[in-house]
Amino acid sequence: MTMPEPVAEYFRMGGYAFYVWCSYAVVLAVLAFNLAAPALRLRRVRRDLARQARFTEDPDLGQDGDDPLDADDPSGGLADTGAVSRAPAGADRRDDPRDEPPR
Amino acid sequence: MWAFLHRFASPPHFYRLSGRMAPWLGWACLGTMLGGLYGGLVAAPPDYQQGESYRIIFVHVPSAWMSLFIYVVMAGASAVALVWRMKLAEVVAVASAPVGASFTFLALVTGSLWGKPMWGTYWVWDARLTSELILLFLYFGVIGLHSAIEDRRTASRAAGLFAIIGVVNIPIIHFSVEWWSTLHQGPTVTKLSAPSIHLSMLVPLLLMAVAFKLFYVTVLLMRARCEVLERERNAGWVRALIAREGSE
Repeated sequence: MTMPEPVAEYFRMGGYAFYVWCSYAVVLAVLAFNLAAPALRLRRVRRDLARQARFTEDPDLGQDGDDPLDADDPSGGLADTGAVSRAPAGADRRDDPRDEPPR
Repeated sequence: MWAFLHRFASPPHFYRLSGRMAPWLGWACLGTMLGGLYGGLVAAPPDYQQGESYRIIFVHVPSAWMSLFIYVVMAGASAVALVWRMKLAEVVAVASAPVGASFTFLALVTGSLWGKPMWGTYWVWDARLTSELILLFLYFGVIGLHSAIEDRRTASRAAGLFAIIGVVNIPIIHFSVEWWSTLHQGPTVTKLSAPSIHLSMLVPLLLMAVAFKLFYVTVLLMRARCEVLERERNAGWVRALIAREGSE
């Protein structure tokens, strides 16, 4: 594969090709990872939640009576109403470390 | 203003709004970054002393700026979370740590790739480099401490305290090049007099800085959405959201 001379000259970066292109490659790789990790995690969280929802039939389901401003109530997200259903989801998450991004 | 903030900070609103904002910020980031890369890799002339190797500056310096900026945001959010017990501030602090660690890592790696041809070595234990390395370990500390504690709110409080204490390192990094003799050059852009860098190099540098900032906000929103969803997994709005999606 031959490149036109000016292009090859450009990629040679005046002899610093290794350092310059390595820098940009590392930056690209790290940025790509930073985008992919939360995207994959969001998909997994939603899949887990959907599975969990199918197991626990909840009379509350779909009732949109929750005032958004009220979401800060002390029992909030930590209420133990779902303690039983939460356990399997958590356990299954730990079994599946493949795409666990750093938190 | 407070009413707006309170509304925005409520998890369901945040989840919806951030989902709508993230793609736009992502595209804005891509556009700025392409502009900055063109300016830096193609349009800018080679440096009269360092030749082409200086082009690493366009990723190295913005990464280093971001590593400090994100740490300050993270510590600030932690302080807000500790004082006002604001859930969203906890989420912002947790979601910032991995991005901050990434940029610190990039600043160190690109810096050593630049140091090899210019200083003749990948690494020296001088003030600037060592304090930046400590910053990376502080980020690891925050991430590790948070994931070591099962309960999310306790974890946030512990990691937040750790983050706030670590802030002492930020001025040390910034002033390290003035306080101690070091191989690293002094500030060229963030000093009070006119920046000692030519416009053809300054413009792509600032474009890359803006692009990295947009990147941070985009990833922050994406991570925060995951975090909010996991923390609120038993709240009514999450169940309604999942149910709505399941029925579609």
